[in-house]
Amino acid sequence: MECHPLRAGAIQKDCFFNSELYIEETLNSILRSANSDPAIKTEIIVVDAESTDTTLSIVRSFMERNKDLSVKYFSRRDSGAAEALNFGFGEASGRLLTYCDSDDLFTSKPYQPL
Amino acid sequence: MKMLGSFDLVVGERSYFSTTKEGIPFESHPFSGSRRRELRGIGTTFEDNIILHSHVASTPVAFTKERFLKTGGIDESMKAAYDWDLVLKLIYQEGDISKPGYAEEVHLNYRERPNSLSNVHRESQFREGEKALNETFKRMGVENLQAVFEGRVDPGYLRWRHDGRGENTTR
Repeated sequence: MECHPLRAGAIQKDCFFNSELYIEETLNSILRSANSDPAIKTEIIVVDAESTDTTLSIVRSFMERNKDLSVKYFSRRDSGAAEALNFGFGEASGRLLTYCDSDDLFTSKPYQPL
Repeated sequence: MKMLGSFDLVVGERSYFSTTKEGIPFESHPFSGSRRRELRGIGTTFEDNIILHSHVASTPVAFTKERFLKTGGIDESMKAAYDWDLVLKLIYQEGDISKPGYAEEVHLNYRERPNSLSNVHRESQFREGEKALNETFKRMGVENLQAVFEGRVDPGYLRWRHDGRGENTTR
């Protein structure tokens, strides 16, 4: 196989500060997207701005249920969404990158240009 | 399937939904006003939309890490429209334009809710977006956004050629 890129979802701040209402749905949407093309190995980078709600336990639970998936979790002082994205992209080990907020939902469509 | 094809950057479509769970009523779509209508009036092509409108759309993008590293990163002083800064930097570097590919399917469902960044920083969306655009124009040797509004610079100056993929050149 010519291409086994990692796709990193650098999930950032707003999304990732006290996102207990939304984060599980978002992570599951990334998982469905990852499963839609097994040839693509997916890595998820979670950048949390030190949430004080149950966000961390939700992410941990997701990681436990999906041990085959590479999920990196970082809790960092809130320095803004732009800084969080730059950090997340820097941590990604794959060749291809994409991102979303913690309340957005990925579809399962590959980025296949016309 | 090889994602992105021969492109460094592929732009997808998004849809909006508003199943907010906080139970707080809010005014849907925060992006309004004369400046937005002004922007919308300038161009109608895919290129115009990417250049001039991408900040209002939370545009879903996928790109290579190699291309991202060339940008030097997003401007961290920006509280809003930083995604626009990212897309513009991915496309336009000094002397190096990367034509984005377009994937017509919906790749991201964007949730509208009262305390999203878009709403929290509603007032600075356009100010910061225009800052990113002006910085881009500067990198490319074009005057500024105001010059586009006043008709002194054709926004098409920043377009890439349609013929041939990945042809990194302006017309």
